[in-house]
Amino acid sequence: MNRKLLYFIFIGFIFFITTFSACYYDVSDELYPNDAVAGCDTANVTYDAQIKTLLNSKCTSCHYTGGPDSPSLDNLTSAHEYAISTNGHLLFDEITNPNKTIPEHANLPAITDDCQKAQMKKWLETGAN
Amino acid sequence: MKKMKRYLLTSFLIIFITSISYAQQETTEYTKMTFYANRIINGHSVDLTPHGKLDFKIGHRMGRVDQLDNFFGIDQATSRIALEYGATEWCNIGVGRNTTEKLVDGFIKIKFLKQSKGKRRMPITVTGLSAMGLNTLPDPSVNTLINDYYFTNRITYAHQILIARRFGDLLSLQLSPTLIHRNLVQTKDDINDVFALGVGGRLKLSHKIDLTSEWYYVFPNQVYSQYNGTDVVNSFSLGIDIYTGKHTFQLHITNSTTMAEKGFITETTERWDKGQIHIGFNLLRFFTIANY
Repeated sequence: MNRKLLYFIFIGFIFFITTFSACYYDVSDELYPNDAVAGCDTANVTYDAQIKTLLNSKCTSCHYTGGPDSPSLDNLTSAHEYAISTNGHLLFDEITNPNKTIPEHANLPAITDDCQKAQMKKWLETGAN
Repeated sequence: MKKMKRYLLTSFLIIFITSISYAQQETTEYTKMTFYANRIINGHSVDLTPHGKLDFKIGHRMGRVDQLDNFFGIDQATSRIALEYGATEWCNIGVGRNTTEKLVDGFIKIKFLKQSKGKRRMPITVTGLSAMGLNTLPDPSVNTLINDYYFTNRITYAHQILIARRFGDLLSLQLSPTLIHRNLVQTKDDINDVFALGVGGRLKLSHKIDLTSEWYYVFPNQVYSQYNGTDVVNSFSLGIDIYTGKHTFQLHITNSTTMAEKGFITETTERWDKGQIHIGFNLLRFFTIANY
């Protein structure tokens, strides 16, 4: 087998590996769905207006200042610190995913309302302030 | 006797001419430099960086010429810096980095057929290109605070078969059937695999200067998403190549600012008929790494 043929085989191998092993047919609108929910106000989301009530209903029975579990989520400062420390991923998952341990631990169902989810998402997305 | 001499002389001439033409058929003459550079303007040409040479390339596209407050676009610029190496006589590899999307790209380019005459006659040069681009910025429409932005969604591919012919010294023409694969598209209407056809050419103006042109036609019903709020249009560029021996300087005007294939073929939004064009240049400089 001559050298040129070996080169061809090697380059062809690299070509197939790089081209077809990572070939996806993803659609952004489906994979990363839009936050918009009909009739839901996500334009003016603040901690005091929406988020405080939401955290109080799901988290602060245990996660309060001086309470059994950390972090405390009963005030804006500590809720903000926790949210940004995980880029919002963890708080959002814990509060919306029924399989996560924390809502189950407290025997509280995860948020199922799309509007509440969208508002939480928006709050986290805009800096959790 | 005189008749005999004339007969012998004629026979000798016939044998001599025949032997010369036969000798010519024994060798193959390959066409060199179908284009001055391994880019026509934005897209690749059939030509390769010579074996053992490293091609350092800087591409620059200014802002729009209709923006007077930006001094005809010169205040703004996008650029691409690249290194391309002639790994063999028939294979190039290269990497580049673009300011647009902070895209890092790499490619393999292989020459399959060489235009030639003589013993082995081949009317065209055929080169294959396979390129991959990695967008190091996330898609701005994806909320990365909540969603994990998958690594594979950053990747695009470009595959081209470049077919060109040099018609004497004066003219070269190239066809570039192209497939762009985008791992992530915006909407369900958009097609991940985009087919396009590039047409490019070179017209010799003087010993060191060529006029070049390049047009990429994207076949309809493939790209629906808007970029910067504007529909995608075909990329068209016009330029001159100036060859100075060690440098090739390509100066052009184009409606595309991105120099990676997926950018100028599937994301060009500016229009020539509205004066939305850009001045740009490519500067190529060869360095000898190994002598072959």
